[in-house]
Amino acid sequence: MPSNSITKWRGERTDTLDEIANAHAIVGGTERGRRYATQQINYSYARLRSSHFQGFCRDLHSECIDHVVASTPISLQAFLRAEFVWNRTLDRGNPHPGGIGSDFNRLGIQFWPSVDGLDARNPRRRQLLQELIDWRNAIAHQDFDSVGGNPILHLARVREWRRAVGALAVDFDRTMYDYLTTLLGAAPW
Amino acid sequence: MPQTRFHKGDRVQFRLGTRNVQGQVKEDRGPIGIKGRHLYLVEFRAEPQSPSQIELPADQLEAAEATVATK
Repeated sequence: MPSNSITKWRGERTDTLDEIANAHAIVGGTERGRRYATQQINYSYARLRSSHFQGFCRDLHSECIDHVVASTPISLQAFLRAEFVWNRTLDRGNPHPGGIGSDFNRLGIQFWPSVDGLDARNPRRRQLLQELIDWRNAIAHQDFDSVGGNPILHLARVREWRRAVGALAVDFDRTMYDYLTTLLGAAPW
Repeated sequence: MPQTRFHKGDRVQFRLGTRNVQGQVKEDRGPIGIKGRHLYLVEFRAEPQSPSQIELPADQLEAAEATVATK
């Protein structure tokens, strides 16, 4: 059974991203006008991809906290909850790999080594996630020096990011499932 | 028994350690908790100058004013 967070990721979050992908496919017009329109769609696609992945990671982190805290005495639960979300990177910044790792590490796991241990492709996927975040920032600030100076973003690259973060989402879910099962002595979901 | 639902802006109170604390719902985080229970992001001030946040399920929150609906 999947977590509630990944169910949401596969449902409403994926639907939204599919709509952007469809918009790219149906945009018409002249060659020059079409190129401009698709470029803006690709920018939006990248930003939304980053935003929804952040939302998924934040949801999964909250869901894991709910399971961990529920195993403690009721009198301790509220301030443990407050401590786990205090200054949480996923509440205020982009879902860059370092921030994701530091937030999940608070739950006692060595997050990225555990994720990397599930699939040899995950270190490369993590690089692609960082690349997505770099582009997201470049688009937001209209400063493309950090991504090599060329502002052209092709759909193929956004699709590559989509595949990478999609696979990471599945392995984040599995990593936390395995960890919480060991920690709590029962499957969390 | 219907689950109490809170909305953004609702004033709520909850138990923090040995005291009752009041706060405001900032976000309904959706049914992402254990067995699909809703979690709520609540902002509160343990001290006047230091706002803090906490995520709590509905069963650990109480309405601080008569603004809470049940479904």
